[in-house]
Amino acid sequence: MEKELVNTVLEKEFNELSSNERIALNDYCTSEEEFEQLKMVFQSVESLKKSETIQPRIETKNSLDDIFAQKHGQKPRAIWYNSALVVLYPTEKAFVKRPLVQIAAVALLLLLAYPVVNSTKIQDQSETQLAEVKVEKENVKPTTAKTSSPEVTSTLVEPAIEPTVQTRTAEMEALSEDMMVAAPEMAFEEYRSEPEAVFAAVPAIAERPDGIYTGSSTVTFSQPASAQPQVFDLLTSTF
Amino acid sequence: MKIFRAQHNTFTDEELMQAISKGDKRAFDELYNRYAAALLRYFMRMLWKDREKSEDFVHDLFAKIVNKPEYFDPTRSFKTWVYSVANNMCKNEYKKAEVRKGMSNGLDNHYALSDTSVNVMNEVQDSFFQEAFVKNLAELDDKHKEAFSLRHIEGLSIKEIAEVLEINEGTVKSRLFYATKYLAESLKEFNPIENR
Repeated sequence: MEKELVNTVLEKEFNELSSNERIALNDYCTSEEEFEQLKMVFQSVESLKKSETIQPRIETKNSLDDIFAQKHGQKPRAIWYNSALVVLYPTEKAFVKRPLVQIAAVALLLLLAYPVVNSTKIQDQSETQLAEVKVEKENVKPTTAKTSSPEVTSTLVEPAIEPTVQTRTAEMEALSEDMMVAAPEMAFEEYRSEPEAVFAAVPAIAERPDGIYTGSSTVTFSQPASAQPQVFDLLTSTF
Repeated sequence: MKIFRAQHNTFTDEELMQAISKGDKRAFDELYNRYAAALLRYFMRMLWKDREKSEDFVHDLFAKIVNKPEYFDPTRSFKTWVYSVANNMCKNEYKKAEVRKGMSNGLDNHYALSDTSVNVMNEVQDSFFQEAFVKNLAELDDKHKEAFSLRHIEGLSIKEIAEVLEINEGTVKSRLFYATKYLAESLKEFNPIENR
């Protein structure tokens, strides 16, 4: 019996059959009673097909896999992710319905969304920071006004060193006289040991007897003016 | 990833067989997914609802496909070939059963099996009507049962059934006609018009 004829039996009632259909079914049924019996057979077949959900056992497949591996010399690799992939990447499902694909899609979306979210967050943060700075400035203004008062400034500002006007006192004069007396006794080398102590530089150029150091000399030392009588004379004549 | 691999689910059965002969495991998995359940149900129907035996037969058939893929003629339809192999396996089992029956003490060998088959049917079928149909189908003689199963349950064409059973198409039609009439007659008691 052709498929179309079976469908006709399943879908139609005996009264609804056309003359052509009745002729085609003539071998199987001539009366409504026989037609109904035929319909029951095909209905049973359909329900049998739907109800038969039996599947082969997994052991059967495993055994066949072993046979295949023996035949073709390739043992299926026992890798941990194979079992995970069965769940995460089931091949029988549509590509978009596989959990691994869905997870990857979500991860990708998060990755793409992160810079956008982060930039707005940074903007918010900078705005709040700006606001905080403004508030701080507003809070700081009155205090600066206070510090501008003479009392506070005196505490903050280092005490100004008053320029001491060195006057040639009597003591100093006595001291210089002592130095002048002691100077000839002092060895020239002694001063070399203390190059840092600069009192009056030796003129590097003979034309500058005023003691101004020009900086071209590699070794600089100082010595009392008494060691250079001509300079001493010049000094004394100046004062 | 399927993007980079051959998509075996788009292969024909015959292409899969060629791939299996070259040792393609995924081709074998695909072919198994296509036919294992259908063949198990076919064996269940043909072998008195014996689940263990049916599982063994499915295993043996696929083992044959793995070990001797050259037995398959690529010019033929795989579906026809696999059902003809399955049918031959059932016929051999019938012969063995006949021998066992002749050597037995008169008890029906399938008594216990048919008893369990009732339980299986009860699980599968909800109504007496469907139960009766399955019972009558099982009671149908083998050559009519196989023709009816292949045509109406497995969905093979008359030509394919003729190839599977190695008979001419006229004989297939004749067997189908007889089986349909027999089943329709056996369900007479459930006919609503008859019971009016």
